[in-house]
Amino acid sequence: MMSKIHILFHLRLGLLLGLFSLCACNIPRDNPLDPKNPDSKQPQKVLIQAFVNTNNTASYNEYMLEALYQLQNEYDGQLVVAAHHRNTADSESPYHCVENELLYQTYLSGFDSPIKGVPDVFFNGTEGRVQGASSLSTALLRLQEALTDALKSDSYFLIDADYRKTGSGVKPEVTIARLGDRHSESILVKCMILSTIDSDHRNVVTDQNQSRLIDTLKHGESVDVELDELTCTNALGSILVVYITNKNEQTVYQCESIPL
Amino acid sequence: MQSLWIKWILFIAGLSLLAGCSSDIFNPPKEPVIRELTLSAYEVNPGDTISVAVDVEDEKDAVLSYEWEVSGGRLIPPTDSPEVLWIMPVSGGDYTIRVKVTNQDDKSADKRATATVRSFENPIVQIESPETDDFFVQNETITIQANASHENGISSVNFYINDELQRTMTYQSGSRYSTDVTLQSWVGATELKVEAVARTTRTVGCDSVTIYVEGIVLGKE
Repeated sequence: MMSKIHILFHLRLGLLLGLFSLCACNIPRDNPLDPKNPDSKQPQKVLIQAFVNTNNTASYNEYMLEALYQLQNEYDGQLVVAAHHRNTADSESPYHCVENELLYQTYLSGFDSPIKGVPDVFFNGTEGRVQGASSLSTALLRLQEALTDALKSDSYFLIDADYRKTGSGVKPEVTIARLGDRHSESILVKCMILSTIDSDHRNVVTDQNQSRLIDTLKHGESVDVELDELTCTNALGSILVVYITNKNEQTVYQCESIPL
Repeated sequence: MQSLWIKWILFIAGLSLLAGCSSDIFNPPKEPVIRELTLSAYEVNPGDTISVAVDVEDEKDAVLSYEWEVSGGRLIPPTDSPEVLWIMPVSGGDYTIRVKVTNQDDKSADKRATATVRSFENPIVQIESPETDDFFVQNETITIQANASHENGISSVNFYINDELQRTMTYQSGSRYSTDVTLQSWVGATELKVEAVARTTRTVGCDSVTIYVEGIVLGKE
């Protein structure tokens, strides 16, 4: 008698588990980070690129950098600050590189302003801009205003960034996914190395590679991106930054950073 | 012979009739000529009383009638005479007086004159742009735009940056004055001041805003 009840119990349990396993195949895709979810999105990590030169007597660039690092500490994990040093009319920077200059010219092409000078700070490409500084307080005020706008944005891209150490640098290993319900066309994936230059963990861009063009990325799809090796020999520490922009590099859609 | 006499009589009668009407046909009535309209003062203080006199020439030396009209203030009666007393308004500005002179032939002429009432109020000045706490980048060219007005009109408008005179503009029609300035020499909190000087009384009014000029180090071209 008992064995019959046992058999019935096991049959019922098996039936129940079977029903559960059937239901499991139709779990709603409501995870906001699941690329297959048409409503997927994530907060935009703000990429702040500051074109500066600290090799001169004026303090404008120092005010701006100090304000930026205060914001970086305040909004830890929500933004990445990259300092692109460039030569000015009267002073050369040891961190100047031609890629910084080309990027600056690319960003300026989106503006009518004829004034070229440092500090000049761009938010998510040219989505926001703060040029010049007269004090730490005014720099903070203006940066905060631009950052508040930038932080409101959602991103429809996911970046999974890793790296492999090579002889004198790192080889980025990057996968990007398209979130939301729309395809994207002609996007660029770029990366750069930020090298720490002092004990306050301030950094400068020391290497950046050519961008990789992705013609089409359908929503819900992900793709591995092949990127060139970057030089990284800094003893004080470095950060790998990966970011996605549109083809003319005016809008940064998402960025990610990992310490090396 | 008798008919010749009748013709002569008719001719003489016609001539007599023509002679009777000749004053209106050959000398039509003319309007009086106003030689001068004189004010005892052309620039006065608010509420002052001035006398106004009209000098008229009329060929018949007939009786003339006078009508006076003012754009502000009031006239002291009687006003049907060649000279009147005009109590000026209390508000500053330009006011006109008009006289119309009519003769017995119902022909008339008129003339106007203007008097200025001084206003000792300061001109009203308002800087429309830029606004206080606006940010600009060093070497940027900005337009300072201001409205300036006064009851006696504006004589000149001066634009200052940190008390350094940048430009003086003389009176122009309308109340809007503007100038372009390149922010080369100033960094940080910077005061823009616009000062207007009134015509007649030379009173001065001003407005100022504080902007921030953010310093840059110029890059290579």
